[in-house]
Amino acid sequence: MTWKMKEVVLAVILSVICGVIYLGWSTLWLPISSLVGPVGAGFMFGIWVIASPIVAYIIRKPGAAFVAEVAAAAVELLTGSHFGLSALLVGVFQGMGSEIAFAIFRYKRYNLLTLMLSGALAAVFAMIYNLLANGFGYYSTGLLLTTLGIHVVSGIILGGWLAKVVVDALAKTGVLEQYAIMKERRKKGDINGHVSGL
Amino acid sequence: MDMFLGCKDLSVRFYNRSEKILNNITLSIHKGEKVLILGPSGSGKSTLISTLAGIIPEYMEAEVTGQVFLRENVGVMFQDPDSQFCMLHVDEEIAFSLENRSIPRSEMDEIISYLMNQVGLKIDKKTSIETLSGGMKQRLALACLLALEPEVLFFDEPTAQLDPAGRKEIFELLHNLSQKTNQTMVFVEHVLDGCIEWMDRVIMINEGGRVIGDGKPVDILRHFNNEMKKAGIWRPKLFPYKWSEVIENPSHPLSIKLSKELETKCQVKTREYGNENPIIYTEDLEIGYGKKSIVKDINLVIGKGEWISIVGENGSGKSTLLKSLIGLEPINKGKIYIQGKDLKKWSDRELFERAGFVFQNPELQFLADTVFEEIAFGGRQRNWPKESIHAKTKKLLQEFGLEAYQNEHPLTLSLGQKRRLSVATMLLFDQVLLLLDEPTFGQDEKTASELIKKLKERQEQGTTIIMVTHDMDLVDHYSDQVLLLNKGKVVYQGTPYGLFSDEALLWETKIIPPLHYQLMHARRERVLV
Amino acid sequence: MKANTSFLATLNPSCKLFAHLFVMFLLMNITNMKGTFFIWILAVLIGIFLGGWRITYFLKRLFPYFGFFVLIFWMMAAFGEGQETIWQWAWFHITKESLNHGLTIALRMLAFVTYGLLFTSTTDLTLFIMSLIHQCKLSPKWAYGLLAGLRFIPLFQSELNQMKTAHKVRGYKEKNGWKAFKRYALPLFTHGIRKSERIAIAMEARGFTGTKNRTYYRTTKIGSRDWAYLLSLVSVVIGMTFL
Repeated sequence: MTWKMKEVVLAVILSVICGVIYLGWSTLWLPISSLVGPVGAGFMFGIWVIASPIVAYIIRKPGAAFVAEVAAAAVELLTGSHFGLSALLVGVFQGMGSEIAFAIFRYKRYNLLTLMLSGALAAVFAMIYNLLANGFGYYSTGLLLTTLGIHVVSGIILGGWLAKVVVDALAKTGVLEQYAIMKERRKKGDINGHVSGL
Repeated sequence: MDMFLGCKDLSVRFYNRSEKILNNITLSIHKGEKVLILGPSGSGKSTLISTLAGIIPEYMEAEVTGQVFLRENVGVMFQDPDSQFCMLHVDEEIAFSLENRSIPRSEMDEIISYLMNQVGLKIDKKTSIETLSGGMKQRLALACLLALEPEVLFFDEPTAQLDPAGRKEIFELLHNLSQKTNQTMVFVEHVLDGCIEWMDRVIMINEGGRVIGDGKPVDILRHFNNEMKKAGIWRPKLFPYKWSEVIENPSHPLSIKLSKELETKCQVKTREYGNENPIIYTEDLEIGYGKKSIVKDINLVIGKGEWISIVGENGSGKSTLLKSLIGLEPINKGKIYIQGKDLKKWSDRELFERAGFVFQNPELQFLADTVFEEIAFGGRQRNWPKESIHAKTKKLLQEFGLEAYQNEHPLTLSLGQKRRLSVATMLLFDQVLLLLDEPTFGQDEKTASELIKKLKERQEQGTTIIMVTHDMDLVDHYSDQVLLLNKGKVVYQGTPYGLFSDEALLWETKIIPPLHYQLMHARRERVLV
Repeated sequence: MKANTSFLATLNPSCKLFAHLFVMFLLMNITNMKGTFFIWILAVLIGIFLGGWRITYFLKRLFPYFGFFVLIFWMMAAFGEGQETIWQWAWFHITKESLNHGLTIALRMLAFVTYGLLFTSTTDLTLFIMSLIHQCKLSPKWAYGLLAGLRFIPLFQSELNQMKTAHKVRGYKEKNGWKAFKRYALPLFTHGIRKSERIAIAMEARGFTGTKNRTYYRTTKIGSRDWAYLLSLVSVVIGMTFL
């Protein structure tokens, strides 16, 4: 399955927007985490992995989830803020996690379940990175498991479920007509009367 | 059939629609011809151009029937100056076209400087694209297309996102080019001034996507005047007349019309500004960020029910001033009083129950999932009783012609409807002050005039209107006061008549006045000669 | 991301990126505070002598991260594991070990940020993408697609700010995180999708095929100075780990 040019640009631009929103999210996260610790602030984690399920759900091609998270992370690198290169590395790990969820189903199933799984696996992979790089290994095992649990739940809800809510709302505005998500719906005979933005 | 460019029995349907957007179109465009395609929005003008340029169905999927006769090398200019580039700097962008044609690297530098020269881009080739004005961006877009050595150039509303100065710049450039090279050009436009004068042929399409007229510009203009009005096309102010005739012959019909208009303007008595109860006034206001001052020494007095226009070149600080007036941008120095009370002492909540702000891009201010909830939003925030929210919202829906769409998502509306909705949402509290940032920008004549009509009605009920605009006819028709910003200062403050009759000031600030003032200036010059 | 006129700016971007990422991987495996500290100082020195940083620039760019540094340190120190308790209050629990770990991790973060800054402050984005094509064999379709999308970062940032202002006028305050995300994301996404569609069409209409069958206006190569930088940086850092 080769990518069309418009799918490539779409994947990049959606990820860039997610990246821009992530930046805003970070400023919200910092003060909270210093107060309640990384564990308590973990409930906000899911937003950081939302780019993958959003893009994969729309474009439905192998690699979409991975590319999305890496491109979103590149925004942090390019705006020169926060974590620079390490953001890129986290992005690579999270992207791999998300991608696996869709690969398991051979890129054939794009529903709430796979989206949620993608959010959960992104959380698991982010934790692997944190163990390697950010010294999470120094936390007590109990604390570590709690953090992982919170991240996974947050990834499922804020990553997977929210991605579906957002894309479904987006589909109603009629801008997705030229992409896989709407083509598949049309195939199923679910024709709606919305017009693409051209 | 030997055809240079064209189609036979062409029909196009997008897969998500049950109806065809283009219906049985047959046309033939000759080499060297300059063709303008007109029609209402949604009539498939852009689709037609995209099909003739080979974009549909190659890059954009649609069901196409009939025959299309394409040229191999074509260039297409789109309306959004920003979304036709993929590189960061001017030279790289032009080079992108050359790279696609596999032109050897050693030849590129020469071609790039030649093309920049040809489109009048007199800037460093390393200039970053995002720093260019809209007009300059379209010049660059043209250079990129010329780099393809196209047989045909297509233009899909190339000036829709430009201000009048930028539009003039681009049309003059294209006109020059067309004379020099006899390039074949196909246009879609909804503003006719500046391009209709040098078109060979105009094709008129109707709502059903069928050709209803095809002929010389003068004939089409005469026969389809009503259709054009309905389609919201900005009809030419001068064409088919010639300016020299209008000046020299006082009994020329347009000359008479313009003189009459001018007379009514002279007779309008200058209103006494800032009646005893000014709704907003400023004292030595300076706007800007930190050390950087954008506009200095602003002393405004705006009375209840007045209509104020803020004008000036791009980057003169119009929008920033507008935002500063209700505290959306910080101010450097001075004071702003709203209804006699210092702006700083107003709470956001109280202030925005009295002042509404309509942003240039309406989409960014929407919050709710339906049009109804969008308008009702403020009432819900304040826990108004259900009945009064309902009654108030219904009234506004009706006033702005949005009743039929009340359950739609705001983002699905058309551009004109979005704009009306954005105004309606600012009137739930019957705000006494309404600030608007270029409310008619990029709109067709019909939606623009509908919106202005609504604003006028509101003004007559006592709402004060402050708007930033580039449309000088709008300024002339409706404003009580004009504020002209130039080089960090307020250089004019007074009636539109006063501004438009000051030739030296207009020249210095690059403002093109409405036609009747141009006539006045031209006549004056003749007397002097 | 823009280049300056320093020595680092003349290096091949991909090679430079690889060198810095390699140092970061090494850092992940270093658990002593001293080594981490020296590797961080090395980055600062490279920045000043090879990266064209002025002291003021460096302080200005890194200053915001010192707050973050303190935060990471605090989080590690107060929530980490350890035997010798130094201070305890409510759920905060600081031990000697956690204090040491906290400092190491915080320094590691700081070093990450500094090596990242070393890359971004001396690299031209276009050249970086071009070197991904030439050295890393990325397909032109993805490379140019990336460039086309990344140029919109400032636009979307300003749109996000406009939305915040607009929401202020309308008196909108969202306490619910996911709802806030949806509010901001929907208009930005619809805009972005329309833009992306237009850009892709504009690029293809200009004859872009995405294949390698094209010439290049800007090319990048790997030369001896790139090898010199890569090898000397890596060997110095490895040397430091034995300190």
